[in-house]
Amino acid sequence: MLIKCTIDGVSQLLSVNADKPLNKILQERLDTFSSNSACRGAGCGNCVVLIDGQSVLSCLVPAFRLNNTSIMTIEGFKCTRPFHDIERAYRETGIMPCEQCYASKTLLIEGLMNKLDINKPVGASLDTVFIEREMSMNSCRCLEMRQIEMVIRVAMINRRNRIVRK
Amino acid sequence: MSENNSSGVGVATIYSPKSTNELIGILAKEKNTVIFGGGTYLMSRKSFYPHPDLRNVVLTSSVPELCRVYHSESYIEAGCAVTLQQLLNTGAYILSRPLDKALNALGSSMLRSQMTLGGALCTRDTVFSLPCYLSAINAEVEIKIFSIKGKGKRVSTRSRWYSITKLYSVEGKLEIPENSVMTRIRIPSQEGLRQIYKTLGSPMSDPESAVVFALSYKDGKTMTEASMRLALPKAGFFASTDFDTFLSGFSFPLSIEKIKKISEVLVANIEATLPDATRIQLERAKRQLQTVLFEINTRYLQH
Repeated sequence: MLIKCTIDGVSQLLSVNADKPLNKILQERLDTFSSNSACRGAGCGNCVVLIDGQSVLSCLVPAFRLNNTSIMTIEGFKCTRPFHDIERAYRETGIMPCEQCYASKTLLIEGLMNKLDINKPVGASLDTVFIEREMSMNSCRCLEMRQIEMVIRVAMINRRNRIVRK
Repeated sequence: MSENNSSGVGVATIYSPKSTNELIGILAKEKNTVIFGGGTYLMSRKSFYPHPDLRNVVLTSSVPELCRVYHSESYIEAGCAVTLQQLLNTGAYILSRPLDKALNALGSSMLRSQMTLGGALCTRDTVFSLPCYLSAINAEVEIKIFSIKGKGKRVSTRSRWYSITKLYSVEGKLEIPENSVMTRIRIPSQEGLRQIYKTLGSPMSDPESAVVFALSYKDGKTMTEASMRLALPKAGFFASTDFDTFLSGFSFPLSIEKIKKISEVLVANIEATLPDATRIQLERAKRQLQTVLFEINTRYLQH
């Protein structure tokens, strides 16, 4: 099956099996090692990518769902401005995820921030239960939920400041 | 419309029908066909990819009728390809608060926006939370049963509405006929009923020990119209009219001995109907019922 999609900003025409999971396509054909899942959706949550700005588990997305989509892996995301909001938040708070879950946690945070209203005050738009549920997709427990919440708060402030400056 | 691929081991043909009739036509004529909703369950199976055989995958999400949500004041009617997130967004004012909360807790929005109602109800080897929750409030599903008639291979279809409870056998296994497809789900608002939903453990990652509990009843000094459902993911689905009748009629507050006795009757019933239930599931089911009855007791005493 021929699939036309954008991966990390580059237009791609892929010839793959229609039911092949996205994480396998990324690993085998595009040498992307960020989506290193082996659990098949059972909950390791290490294969998160952004599809049209929404975070998804790439092991649960078959190739036939990818036509005309924009896929962003951590490699591509690192070259964007939204990444720097989160990266700065990591540095400012001194809270950093472990190497294994860094990619997926960062993309999960980005997906979550896309759902939040950037114009609302940070305290009002953040719901701890909501954050906990969204971040539960990644099973790595290197960070406490309280720490992740702090990173998101700071990243939200960074993003708002950047947008206002613009 | 179908797209065939030409390379690889697990060669699959993907069908994207544009109407329910077209979907049924494909299911009737093509053998070895998998109905694909959101893919959260199918994709997590080891056998999904690579698959050794030639097979067909039919997408329900390409059928507009199956992605529609209709609601009136008393019920919501959703197509089987509607995702849980869509249902929650559309039905916020019709779904009861406990049900809304319980459905919200089924997973992150990432999973909820991929998980379809049809998929959550029709997995043959595992019972998830949704059938248990919806069965307790007497939700119904429309099943279209089809057959091929005559030399011209004309597909004839008849549809019937079933209560979700009736989809499962006494042993708790899904009993949809082979030549059928689920098309719509009707969820009543059930305003007068008190509803309690609990999930212990994860039915997806830990099916041997997870227990899903749902209870709806008419509030009052005496419990009436009780409807209790338990889903033990790998073992089956517990829905007993005898036990519901047994529960209805108890006056509150209940003594500790009475609560213990009721929970023991439940365990005996589960053991008799679901032989595959594990010991931890039996213990959890028992404790869950006890907790709920204590909660109702407290509520009654507070008033």
